[in-house]
Amino acid sequence: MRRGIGMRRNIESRTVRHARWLGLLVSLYPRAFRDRFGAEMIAAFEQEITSAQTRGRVALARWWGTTLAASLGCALVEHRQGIMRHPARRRHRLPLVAGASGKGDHWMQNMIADLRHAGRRMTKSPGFTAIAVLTIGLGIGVNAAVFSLIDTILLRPLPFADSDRLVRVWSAQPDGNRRFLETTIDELNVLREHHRAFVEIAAVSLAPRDLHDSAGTPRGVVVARVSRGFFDVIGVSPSLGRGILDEEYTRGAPVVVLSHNLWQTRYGGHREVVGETLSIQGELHQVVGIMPRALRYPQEAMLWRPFTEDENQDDDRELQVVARLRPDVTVEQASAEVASILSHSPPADPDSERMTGWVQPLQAMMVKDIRRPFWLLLAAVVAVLAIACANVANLQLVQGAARSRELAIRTALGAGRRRMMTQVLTESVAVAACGGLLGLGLGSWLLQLMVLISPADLPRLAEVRLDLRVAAVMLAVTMVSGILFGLFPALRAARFDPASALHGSRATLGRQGQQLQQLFAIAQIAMATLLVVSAGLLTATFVHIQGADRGFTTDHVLTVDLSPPNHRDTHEQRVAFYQQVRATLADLPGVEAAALTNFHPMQDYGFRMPFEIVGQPVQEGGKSPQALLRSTSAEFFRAAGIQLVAGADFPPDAAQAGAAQGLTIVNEAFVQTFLPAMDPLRQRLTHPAYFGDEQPVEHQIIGVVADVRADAAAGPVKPRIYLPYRQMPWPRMKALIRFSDAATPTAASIREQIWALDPTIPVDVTTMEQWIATSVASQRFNMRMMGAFAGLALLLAALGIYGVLSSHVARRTREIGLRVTLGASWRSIVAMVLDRGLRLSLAGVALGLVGAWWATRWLASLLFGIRPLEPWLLLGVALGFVAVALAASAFPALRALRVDPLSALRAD
Amino acid sequence: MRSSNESTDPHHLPLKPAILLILTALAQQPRHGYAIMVAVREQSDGGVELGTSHLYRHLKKLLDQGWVVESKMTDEQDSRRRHYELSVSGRQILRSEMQRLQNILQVGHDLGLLDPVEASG
Repeated sequence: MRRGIGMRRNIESRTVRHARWLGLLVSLYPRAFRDRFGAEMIAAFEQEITSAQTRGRVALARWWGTTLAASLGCALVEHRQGIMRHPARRRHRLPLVAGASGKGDHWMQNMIADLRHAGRRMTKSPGFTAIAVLTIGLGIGVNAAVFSLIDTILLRPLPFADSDRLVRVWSAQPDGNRRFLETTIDELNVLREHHRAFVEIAAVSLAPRDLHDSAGTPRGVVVARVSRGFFDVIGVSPSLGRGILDEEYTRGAPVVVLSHNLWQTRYGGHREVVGETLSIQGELHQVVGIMPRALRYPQEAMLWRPFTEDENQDDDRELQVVARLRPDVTVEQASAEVASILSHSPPADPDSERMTGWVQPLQAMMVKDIRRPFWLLLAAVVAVLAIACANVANLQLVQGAARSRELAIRTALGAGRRRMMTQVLTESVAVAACGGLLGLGLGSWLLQLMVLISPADLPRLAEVRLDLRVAAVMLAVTMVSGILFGLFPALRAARFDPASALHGSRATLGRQGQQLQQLFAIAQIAMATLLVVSAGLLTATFVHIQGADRGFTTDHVLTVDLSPPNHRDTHEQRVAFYQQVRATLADLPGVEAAALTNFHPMQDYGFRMPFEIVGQPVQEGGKSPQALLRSTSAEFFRAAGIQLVAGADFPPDAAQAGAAQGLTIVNEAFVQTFLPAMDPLRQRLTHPAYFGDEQPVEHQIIGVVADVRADAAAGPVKPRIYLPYRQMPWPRMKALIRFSDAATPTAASIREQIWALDPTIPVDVTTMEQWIATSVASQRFNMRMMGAFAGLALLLAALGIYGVLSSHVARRTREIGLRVTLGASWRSIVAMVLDRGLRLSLAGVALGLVGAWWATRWLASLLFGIRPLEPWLLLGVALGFVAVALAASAFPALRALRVDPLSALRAD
Repeated sequence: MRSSNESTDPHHLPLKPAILLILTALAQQPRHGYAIMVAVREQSDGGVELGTSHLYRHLKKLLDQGWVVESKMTDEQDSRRRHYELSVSGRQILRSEMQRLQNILQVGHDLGLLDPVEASG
């Protein structure tokens, strides 16, 4: 039954999606016909679709194919019948022969004649047509896919009401050093009290939590804790059930609203879920509503619940504040107001520093990092399309030469230049249209593929699809490209001299035509060079980032994410539990070291602990320095593979139990920043009281470890302080396991061990390689996409060279025959052809490298570990291109060799 | 207005298979577009697949010729649908076509090409 509902919902939504296409289909017909039958035709189409859908995807695709063809045909016939009854035609009884009459033709009539002619020509030379359609189809396909992605993610307004009014409010340090700071509850309250710029302002904060319910094994979820007014800011209300009530915000009631995704995946989309209770971190919560699918803010959120009373007291700087601007307020005005409110209100805690703030449009914030790579991809696919167009233009030039006789005869029979031009253009547009249709199909498939390999944190991924809007843009692009690649052949047709063509015995492509062809080939190679250089740079970047020395080992390491069981409330109980976990994991076969840590080595954020160095005066202003705090068990550095640079590792956990003095280990960045020109191992740190410590504890620095870089491309390494877990217990720890080649512990065995301790704990096992793969996902995506497009460009450009050279050889068959007869060696013949190929490619590569020199500056911000103008890369690309060009020239050269001198001379 | 176009000329015969099947479907009962398509498929044992685009071209012709007229029936399920039925002249032309077909079948029968039962059926 679950399946049944899902399927019906699916089919319904698909029918709705189809409806827009059906409207387009019907709009092909003449107005009169549409008015008479349009609505009921759509009704009938819909029923046909429904029936086809029950027979599966293939049947549906076949239905679309036949229906599209039939509708195009029928619509055309209807249009034509309309024209046959057109008064002008009745009067003159004009013939329906293309190009046979001058002015006064009905344009539609000409167009139909031209289309028919184009159709005939296309079917007459199926090879040419297939190649041209395929080439344009590829060009349009990649454009459709990339443009869909860009359209959804960058251009389209967010799926919230009046989304251009939505802003993110940031706190910032007055000195401008840190501009993207989250907000505290005090700041939010102050803003709430004094703002005038917003309709509503609210906060959300994300936290990982464990979900227990009857639907399956416990799992980790991301809970969005929201303040009053959050849903009013976003402007979205639940699609099922209700939102969070005012009264529930006030008392921090245990109610949750589920995301559409969680509802579908975990609860099978059952409506009965609303009203049920589930347990988050051991607290029972009632499900009151389900969010609509479009609501993905914050992107990671799976459940929304009001802040609890405790959380409302919490002064952590972790609130993401969002607000809805009043209609008459600009972003700048709001920014100024926020800055003024925050900098004029005294901070609640006199020790903390006074902040300022600013406002950023929400959409700009969400797509900040991906804008540049995406425009880059668009530039790449436009280049691919341009190369494809140049290819087809070349093909058409060759074709045009072969049909000069036909054109001559028609000109001689009185066809005007304009008619000839429009006819040639109609042909290319018809080819482009077929290519465009193919491209749309190809594009929607490519888009699925791209979504599949795209980084999971790409915003708005769920919304991505190839829709009517993109199709319309692609249609326009197709038409433009059809006109572009048909323009030169058409101009040639217009300037055509019938007499010489009729006298001339063979297909000729005039000097101008040849030059044009070569220009096209050079431009193709230049663009392809540019793309390959860019792809090369991105690949090198990826390789550098992937393989960069991170300061810790990336293989043979597993991380185990597990939350403490709810009933272990005190620190002591949790410490005991985690020690147990560590001991169990260490006993697994193959495990060399097992350790605990509060943050994963890949996580370059977290709590910044203020500290003081004993014996050193605190800096003026009384502000303590801060460093990232890591709480770790013994063996952590061994398990993570982090090098000890000086001093010693923490002693075994057991030995620390009764230690009077605190110990600490710092990283190299810490030493460089805070202890320059000092022996770090003689220094002691103190930190203010945390976690109920009564007295500030002194920590002796016993060791210095190597820096850890999570993101190799990120800025300088942050100073870190490592404290023993026993002395700095953390509520939520992760385990790190290093294993040997001998045996790899499986996720199942790890889970089994931990569940033996407590079966209610969600356990998430990940390899270090997976962490790294996720962290370099966007670079990998850029590299893959760019690589694919560059490969396509290279292929098309190679085909271009091949086409030019083979027509070159075909043109000179006679000359070659003559040369061979006169005793030319095969070497000189081959050299003649290769020489041409070499010159073309060298010119193209040179031009492309100049282009790369200019364009890669723009790329620089996406690069890491490689200069934008890396000489070996440029040289490699140049050599590679010459090799490809030579390979493409090889076939025409071989053909030139096979020319039989006698028959070549005798021809004509 | 339609009646002026109405024609039952014998030179309309033979009817195209699709037209014959559409008229036959409408002779049974008034139907809307999709129902005509389903009936045509069933009558021809799936031999004639009539899509919406072609159906409405034929319907337009049939309406213009006056063989088919719009029925007064309204559709409860989908207000967009209209129902069509055979006009008097449509019935006449269908009868002439059936007659013609029967004559041919008779020849086939006389030649012993057909099973007697099938021929009469």
